[in-house]
Amino acid sequence: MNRTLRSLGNLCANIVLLVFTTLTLLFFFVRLTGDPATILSGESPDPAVLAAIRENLGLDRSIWVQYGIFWRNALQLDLGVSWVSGQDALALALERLDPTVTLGIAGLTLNIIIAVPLGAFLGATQNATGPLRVAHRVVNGIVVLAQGIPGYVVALVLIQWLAVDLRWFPSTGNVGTGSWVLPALTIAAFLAPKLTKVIAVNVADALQEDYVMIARAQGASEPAVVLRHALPNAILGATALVGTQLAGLVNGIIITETIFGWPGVGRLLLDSVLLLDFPVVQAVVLVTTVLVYLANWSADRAIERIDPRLVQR
Amino acid sequence: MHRYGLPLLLAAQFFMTACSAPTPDEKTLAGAAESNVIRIASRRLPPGFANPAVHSGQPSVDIWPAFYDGLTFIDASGEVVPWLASEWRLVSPTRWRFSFRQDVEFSNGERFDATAVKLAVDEILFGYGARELVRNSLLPTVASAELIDDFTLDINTYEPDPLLPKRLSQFYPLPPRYFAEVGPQKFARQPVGTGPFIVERWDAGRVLMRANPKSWRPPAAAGLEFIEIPEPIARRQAIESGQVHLAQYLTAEDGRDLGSRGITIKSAAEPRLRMIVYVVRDGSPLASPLVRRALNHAIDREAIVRHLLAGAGAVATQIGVRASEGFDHELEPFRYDPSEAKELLRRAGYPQGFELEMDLLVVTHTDRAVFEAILADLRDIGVRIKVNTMEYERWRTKLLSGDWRHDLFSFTVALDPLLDITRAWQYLSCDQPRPPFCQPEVSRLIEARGREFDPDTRIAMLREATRLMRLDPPAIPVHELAQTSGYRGLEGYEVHNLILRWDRLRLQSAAPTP
Amino acid sequence: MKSWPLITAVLVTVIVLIISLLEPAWLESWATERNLANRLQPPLSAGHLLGTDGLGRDVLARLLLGARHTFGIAAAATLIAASLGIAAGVLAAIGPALLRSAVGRIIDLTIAFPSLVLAVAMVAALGRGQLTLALALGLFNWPVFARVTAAETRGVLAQQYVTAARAFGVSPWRIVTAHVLPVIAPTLAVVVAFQFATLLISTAGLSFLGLGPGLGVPEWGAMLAEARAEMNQAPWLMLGPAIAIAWTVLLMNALGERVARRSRVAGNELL
Repeated sequence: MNRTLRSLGNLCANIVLLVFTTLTLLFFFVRLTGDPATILSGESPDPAVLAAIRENLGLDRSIWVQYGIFWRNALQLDLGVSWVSGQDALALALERLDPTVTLGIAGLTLNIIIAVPLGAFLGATQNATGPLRVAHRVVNGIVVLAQGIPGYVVALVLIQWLAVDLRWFPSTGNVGTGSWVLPALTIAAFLAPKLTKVIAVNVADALQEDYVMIARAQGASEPAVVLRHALPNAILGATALVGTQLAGLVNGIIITETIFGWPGVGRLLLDSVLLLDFPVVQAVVLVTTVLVYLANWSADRAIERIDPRLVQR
Repeated sequence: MHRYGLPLLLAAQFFMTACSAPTPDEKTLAGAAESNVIRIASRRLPPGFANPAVHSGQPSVDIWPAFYDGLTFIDASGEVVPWLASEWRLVSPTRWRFSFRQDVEFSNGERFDATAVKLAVDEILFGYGARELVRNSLLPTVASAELIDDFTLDINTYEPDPLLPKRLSQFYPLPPRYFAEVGPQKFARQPVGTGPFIVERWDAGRVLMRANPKSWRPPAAAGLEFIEIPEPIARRQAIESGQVHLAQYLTAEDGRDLGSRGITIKSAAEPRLRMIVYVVRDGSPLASPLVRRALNHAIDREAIVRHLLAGAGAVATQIGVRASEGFDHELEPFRYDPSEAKELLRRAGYPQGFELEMDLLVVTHTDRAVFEAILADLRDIGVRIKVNTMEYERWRTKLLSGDWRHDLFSFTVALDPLLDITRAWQYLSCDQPRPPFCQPEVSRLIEARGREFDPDTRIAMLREATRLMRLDPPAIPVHELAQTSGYRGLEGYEVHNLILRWDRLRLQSAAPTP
Repeated sequence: MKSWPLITAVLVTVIVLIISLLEPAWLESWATERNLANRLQPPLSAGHLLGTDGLGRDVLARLLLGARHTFGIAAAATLIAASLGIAAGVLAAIGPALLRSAVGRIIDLTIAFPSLVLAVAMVAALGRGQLTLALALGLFNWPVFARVTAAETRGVLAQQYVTAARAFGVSPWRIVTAHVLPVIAPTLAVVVAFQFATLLISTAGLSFLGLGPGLGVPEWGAMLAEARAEMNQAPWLMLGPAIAIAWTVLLMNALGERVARRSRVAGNELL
């Protein structure tokens, strides 16, 4: 009980620190670009209008007063309104979170479905002979190649082949059922090569352990040995990757959403950046950062439950 | 915890999310099949959602006329005809009087009258959150609106403005009671208008509308569904595979390919001109008119239109578009002649060429390709240009404040809905606080024409200005744009001045709703 | 044990890079020669091994010319990340406990930041440009260097001869430069190789999204963006830049692995 409380308390403290740092960084970033009032309305050469807008946004006060006001609003969950649409920035970001999370989970799941069997196969057939060795080389070659190809290239190839040529799937994220398949596959392409490699290495290592030899001596078949003994430990070993994979996931999501026109938070970010709509950029960055941190934390806690030795702290 | 717990947990979560989340696709697909809903692939949904004080022009004007009505309407021949406003006249040079139809209701039952119009005017002029952009393009000369009676409104302008009725074709009234109730933010997500359709849902990537049979111009279709598909490839695929009935903003090549596959392709000239404007400063090579002409001769406009635009578009002959008032149809384009260009440069004292810097706004891939070709053409005659790419917002700020630090800037000027050629020239007028290039004679003509109410005199003035600008170009006009759309299984497709008649559009097999 | 394929690959890449950096006139004219009527030709057409792009320019020539941009930005980002990371890692290892936990906290936070998201935000704020890109990428990729440096440094510091040196009063600075850095150099080299590969992909990725260097610069990511726009008319256009990126990444990965195997560096922490 005590430990749970402490861990939760730690979590809250970290999130607070995270939010504080992120928002502060963003606050000063935005001021770096010059006068937001000019961006909003430098249109009118009329200085009276400019002054009115400044007053409206509170830009005529000193930077520290602005900072204070900024925090006062932020604490009430008011991150400002979009300079483009006038809608509440935080609401906009949260609204588009759902499609992104769906895509993320779909991508992660596909990633696991692809990487685990492939990795297990590669690890188990490391020292194989005959036809298995040939298969190992081929699969290994593909995985190595896949590591070098950026995910967005894979996306383009997938679109061209599956969507335009074969017409099995739509090439956009909005139309028709099955529109999530290609984007999810793209995200898996970002993450799978590394995960496959790590699992392969872990499986190969695990197969050298004593308990595996004992199982073999007891007459267990090779596939059973791999599945029941080597693989679970290999997967647990791969949990060190969770942090990197989540970070890679976020990066992959931004690019994937843009390519496929998926109406999620990643595309909102890019669109807002191009429109210089900083309140929305702020909101999206904040939401994403907190979410990623939470995901990391939950993964760590889950891993801790399974095997406390694995937690890297 | 079971060893496979974690992956199983993730998988379970995935399936739960995927299965439980309402799939709007399925609902609308089934809905569409039953109830006659037309699906449209749009390039972009209005960034301001549905608040008319926050945005104007494209892409809003692509969708808003489905549920909003303007005060006037510009028909196929460019004439202003009554729409929500039944008539209008000048009471004094700075005072217009508008009378409105008395038989129109908003979709929530509120009566449409002069109060609704006044509310919209006030909102655009003084509303909190209203954007200058809208005021500048719709009501630049308007000082205030005065109620005369229930259906009559006076609009006071700062100076005589003969173009006001034309501008009001994109001006939409607001329902006073509902607007006051929900406020601008909520109104933008759930708008109420007088048009043929009612907005049911406005999500991040799609807008669903159902027919408003009680509207003064009821629609033929039962509903519209706009789906935002930013990628041109995906839009093409959507219409090809039959997932949408209408796809807007296809590329010309797509149009060519799809035309032979049972898809009706409509290509229309957009009243838009792409040009590069000179910012002339003392000591810069651009101070010499010979140089300004030379650059115009260096660009192979023909090749750009033929190869990069697949023929969709027209070579520009002057700073204006064919559909605009005062366009000189007799004028030939600048001849593509690099050797003459080099000769002119030599005569101006720059045999080795020179370097310039340019502020550039690129939005689509075609923009990029066209400008790369232009820059390469200029490099061939020795003019090396350093490019400074920027986003739309930064570019627009510079345009409106005249704060150009470099020698050239790109400008794709949109002359709709007014088709007013001087919209392109106004930034070059000497009245601007910091004009990139000031030609006093031309400015005088622009200003005089702005006050002139006789059409023939206006046209003569515009022609004279064009002639002057041909001898001494303030810019490099490159080409006019064109828009390609494709549809299948639809009837009643009518576009006037880039505005689609959504009320006339209907699915082919269905009978029009009574 | 030399690996001839690897050496050849490295040589070829280095030669390409040098040519690209020198920007000789013949390469520039070859890459900018255009013919609008001859646009979007497939590979193996007359005179164009990899075909032509949207303006009729030779794809191979543009790839060669663009190598310096992609490499340059990725290298600058790696340099920034490595400098920050190694410095932070050393501090975390030899500094007082407070500093150690502070750096640890900062690392945790930085890892939580989705790097691409913040890179995009930075480009929005500071405008486009090669330096901004390098800065944005470098600033969010230093934790890996820091973690590895810290772990390895602690390992070296635990050695007996270091304890002895400390007892003799040798300054920490000298310990670091004379004893620690030379020992951990191979490990760091491996990390550099892998991170360079990752940053190259990110550079091309940001460029692909339209945030890279300006118009007409033949950066590989920008070439991919063009290929995407022309996918209906010329699906083969993405081959050139994709192969170039893949080649470079695979090469750096192979180099990294080779050095790792040579110096018997442990695997998992390099992830």
